[in-house]
Amino acid sequence: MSITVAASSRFNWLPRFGRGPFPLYAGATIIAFWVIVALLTPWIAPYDPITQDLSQTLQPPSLAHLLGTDNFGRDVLSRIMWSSRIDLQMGIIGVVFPFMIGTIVGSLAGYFGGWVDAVFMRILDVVLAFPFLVLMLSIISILQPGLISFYIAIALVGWVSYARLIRAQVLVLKNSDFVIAGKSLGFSHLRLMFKHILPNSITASIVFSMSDVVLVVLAGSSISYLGLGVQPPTAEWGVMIAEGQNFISSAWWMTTFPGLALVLMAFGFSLLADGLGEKLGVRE
Amino acid sequence: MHRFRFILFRPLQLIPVLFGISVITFILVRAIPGDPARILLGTKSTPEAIARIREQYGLDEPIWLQYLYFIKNLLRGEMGKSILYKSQVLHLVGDRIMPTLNLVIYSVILALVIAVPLAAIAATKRGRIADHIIRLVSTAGLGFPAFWLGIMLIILFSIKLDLLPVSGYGSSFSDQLHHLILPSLTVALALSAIIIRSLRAGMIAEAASDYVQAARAKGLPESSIFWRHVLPNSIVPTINLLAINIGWLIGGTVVIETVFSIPGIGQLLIRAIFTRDYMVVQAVSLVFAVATVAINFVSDILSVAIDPRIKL
Repeated sequence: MSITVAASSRFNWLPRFGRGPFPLYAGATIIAFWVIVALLTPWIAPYDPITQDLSQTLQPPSLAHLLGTDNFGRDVLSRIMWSSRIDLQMGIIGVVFPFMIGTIVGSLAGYFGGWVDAVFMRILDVVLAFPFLVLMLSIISILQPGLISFYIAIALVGWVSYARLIRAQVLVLKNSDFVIAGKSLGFSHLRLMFKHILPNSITASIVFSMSDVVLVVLAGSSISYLGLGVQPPTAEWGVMIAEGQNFISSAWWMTTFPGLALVLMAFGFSLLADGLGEKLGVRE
Repeated sequence: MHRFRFILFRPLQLIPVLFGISVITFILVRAIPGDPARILLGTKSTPEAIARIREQYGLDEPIWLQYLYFIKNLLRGEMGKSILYKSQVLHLVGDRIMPTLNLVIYSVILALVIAVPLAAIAATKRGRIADHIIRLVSTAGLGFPAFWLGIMLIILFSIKLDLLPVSGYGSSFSDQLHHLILPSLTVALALSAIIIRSLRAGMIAEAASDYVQAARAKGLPESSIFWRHVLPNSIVPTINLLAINIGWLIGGTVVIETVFSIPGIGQLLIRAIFTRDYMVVQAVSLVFAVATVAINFVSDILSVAIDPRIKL
């Protein structure tokens, strides 16, 4: 085995994975596909996702039902399409709130330092000490199973990564010339923090949020699979997989296709995160 | 001397974290609306039992005193009784810890067996087609929901090929091993996707360092450079990487225990949430959090003890 430090120049004709614009475009295409599906579903889905048709139960994939039907005779393709709306929504809301909370906490902690920083960082250590999913499940157990509880739990648990990223950047930037210049001009703390430091420190968080979408969507569908998130009969990929698990020996399509949809969406966001990180020069 | 002081004083840093964990698990149950005594005992509780639990947990006292009662009970190994199982929750956790522990251990071993060679291939064939494929597959693997992957493996190995059991645990050691192959493989595949990328990056950085250049300059064959120098030096970062991901790993086993009906702590947690058995939820989250902290602590100490290059 030989270890080459410089990348080999052979196979240049391959779309070079992890470099250049390929992952960015591929990821953006996949996500654009899901956004279009999610937006157009009410008009293009062939069947209703909830209405049962007991004469058509457990049909294998056919021309009438491209991805087969489930145990209630519902069209799997239509349910997958309706699910994309909920899973995309989970990915967006489940990232936006942690992002906002984390950004505010990280800015305050980094900018003011001292006891503010110490308090926030100890809280952060404690949240990090809990396994992510276990803490979320415990919070959901206090509230009640459902999508709203999932959003509350993810906001309470997910902010830590963003707070750490922002804080690290702010610590560096708060001593830079433009901040000192602003200070000497008498700008307020808020103005310095959010108008001057934040725009310069947020890139890493934006790149991270793309890969965080993957974690959030997987967590959301896992919790729904466990029966503690999105509730049946609503179509959601994790719910569909849980329902299909009772029929794995007779109807493989009930579990296989929703999972593939989930994988494709997650893959899109992973590629996007990779490509964006490369383009903006952020390394995780 | 520095090193000695580190090992001596590092445990002190755990105190605030452990304090925080106890506060959060304490709040967890107190945050539920309603009378805590009824919540802890379930709806069908007798007035005497309620009076007893009020006294044991100091429920009529101010909140900070209630916390001290909670800690006092905790130090005596009492975390209350399960409503569903009618026994001490810590005994329940103790009875179910082995399946979870086995699942975690087998998963880590399998993950290393899968990830280390693949990362080594990707690092040594950097920029070649093998590297591209391994990176593509591991990026795609990041998005694989573990519960779905588990079901796909069941369909393949248990239903189509009829090689392995669909679910359950088994009684004898070999039977348990047999039952845990698919669950461990599921967790290991998901974990490999996470660790391959950092492992590859670590090996590439290691391969670019001065001592590798020196080894090459003195004419050591590439294979022994890799086996004798690069690989052993990548081990400490790998241990750290596994420790950092232990929280993820525990979360993964919670879900996988449900997929494969393994009677571990994860399954206990999920059932407890459904039955509103809050004492069990509290105990399990406490145990998982303390385990996470302990594993990270041991990994810190180990890497300082093993690798003299780590700066303190």
